[in-house]
Amino acid sequence: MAEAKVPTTSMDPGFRHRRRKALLPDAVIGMIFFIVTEVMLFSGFISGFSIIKANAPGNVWPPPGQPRLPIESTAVNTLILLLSGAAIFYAGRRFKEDAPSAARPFLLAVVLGSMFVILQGSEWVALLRDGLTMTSSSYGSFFYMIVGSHAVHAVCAILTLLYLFARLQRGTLSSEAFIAGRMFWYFVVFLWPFLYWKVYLG
Amino acid sequence: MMRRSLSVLWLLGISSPAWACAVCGGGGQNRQAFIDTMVFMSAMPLAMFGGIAATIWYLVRQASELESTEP
Repeated sequence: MAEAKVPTTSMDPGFRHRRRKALLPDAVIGMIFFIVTEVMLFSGFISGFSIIKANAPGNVWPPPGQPRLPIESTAVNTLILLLSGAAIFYAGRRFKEDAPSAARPFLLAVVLGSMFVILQGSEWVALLRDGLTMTSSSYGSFFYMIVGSHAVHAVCAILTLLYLFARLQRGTLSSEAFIAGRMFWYFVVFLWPFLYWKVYLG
Repeated sequence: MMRRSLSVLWLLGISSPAWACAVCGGGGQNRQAFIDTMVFMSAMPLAMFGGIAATIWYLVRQASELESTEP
């Protein structure tokens, strides 16, 4: 007796079309490429900053006559931002088990992130008052360019999280969108300690 | 022989302006900073795309294993 032919093509009887699940959702792929470009942007900033620092007259850095950066208060601010990252991570875990239970840690992450941005802003006001501006020195211009770019990314990420939070409250938040939003926030959170090390402590 | 001599003469001729290069001619910290940042900027995209490729390879392998165990 001839063996039954295993259907392997759509022409064979009994063939079943099977839809494959995407390895990575489209939102996640898009966010990956966005983060890669932004990492290169900040890499360029830090590289330029390192070269300017190496060319400082008399190898004195920061330049004399410029206000010193608030290292201690920014260290506390850094901890706040890292806590925000931990909160969004926990929100992700809760979302997998029971989506509505992710609301509280999600909101905490947004609140902590907003605190970080507001405290950074208040530090900027003090620095501007003390004379560190975009045009006061290369130190000032690089500081505001690097930290300012991070602040812009942080604000955009907070607005994204607020939009996702609104969808979570309505019950229409998909896991793909939540993952992509969390990736953006992780990028903002984990980039900051590196910038703090190079700009504030360097 | 002629070609070699001309090459040596040409290299001697351009050697002076070549030392105006900030990396080759600059001393100490400046040169080191350029080299460090060049290595950093070259390694970053390689590391990132290598990581992405490794993740995709892992996901493909995981999906293949799942498919092979399906009835």
